[in-house]
Amino acid sequence: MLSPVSEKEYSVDTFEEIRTIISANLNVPADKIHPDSKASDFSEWDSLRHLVLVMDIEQKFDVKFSFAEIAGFDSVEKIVSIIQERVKT
Amino acid sequence: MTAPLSVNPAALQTALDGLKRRNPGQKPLTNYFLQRLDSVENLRMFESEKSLCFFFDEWDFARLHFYTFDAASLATELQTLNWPSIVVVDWISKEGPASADMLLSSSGFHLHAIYDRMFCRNLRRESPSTPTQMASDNDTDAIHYSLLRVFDKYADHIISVKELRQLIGQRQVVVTRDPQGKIDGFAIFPISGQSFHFNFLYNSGGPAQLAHLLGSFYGALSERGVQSGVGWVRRMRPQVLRLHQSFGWKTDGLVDYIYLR
Repeated sequence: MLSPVSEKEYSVDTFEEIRTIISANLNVPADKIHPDSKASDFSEWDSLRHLVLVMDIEQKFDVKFSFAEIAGFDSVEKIVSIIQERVKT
Repeated sequence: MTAPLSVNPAALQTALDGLKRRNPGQKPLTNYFLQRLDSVENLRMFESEKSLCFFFDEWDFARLHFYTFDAASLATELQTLNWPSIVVVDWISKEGPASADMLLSSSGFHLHAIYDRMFCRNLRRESPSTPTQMASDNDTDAIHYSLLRVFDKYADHIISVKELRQLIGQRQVVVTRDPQGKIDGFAIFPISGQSFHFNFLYNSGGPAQLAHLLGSFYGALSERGVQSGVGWVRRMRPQVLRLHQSFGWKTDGLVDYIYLR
């Protein structure tokens, strides 16, 4: 069950894909990951895992982020937003 | 086995040539592959009819290389040596550690660490990030202090202050800094032609700082046209290997077994 998302609309598919990748990399249950989850909410979300899960997301969606963008991914919402933006373009 | 003899690299090479002449047509067992010895400290060797061993000093230990045409005899001879207090041996192989185990275990060596070699032939292209922060000469002591504090001096082949200073001068060390200006991450990458050796990566600044560090690192390599790299990653740190694999690095089956006595 997804958490309700107010104000912003997310593609459920995009979020689910990203949630699956984050869940697998952090080894936390998917239902604990919500669109408004922050990296700091998870002790497992360390530097190495951050880079690895972003690389997995790049591969999954066939996009490439700059390292400056990667440095700014401090929440699930930011990742989903940029993916949706890239996929649109 | 004769008493230890202080030698210079040229004399050692002469002794090695003599050993090979005395044992023509035989396959040696060795962990010496012509590594440079011109700047090592306190080089000394032991020699017998079928074998030659030599040590030199690094930090608080001695590094041992051997070259033998009779491993069983050398194993016996090694048991009679008057050893330095700490000795390190690298055994690099694609065929496992059995030969080294046979030679070294009876002399009190134990397996200390295992490293897998990794390579990347198509490095991630990255526009140089802004700002790419190269280390400066003033950073040398702080970086070297971190090298000795964070890495394993017995296994990681930690470079000297002089070598580090030289790499900094050649713009082959990038850093990240915390808001107070203190170094919280660095990458050291000696470049040779279009390739580089991935020696050391350190980050204590969190995910964003690691991303900035890797941006500087891959950006600096892209800027200089470096296309491939090679490095070693400790097997007990699978998450580090996973990080590099996600950037396209692969292991090639070559393994460094590091023994300690």
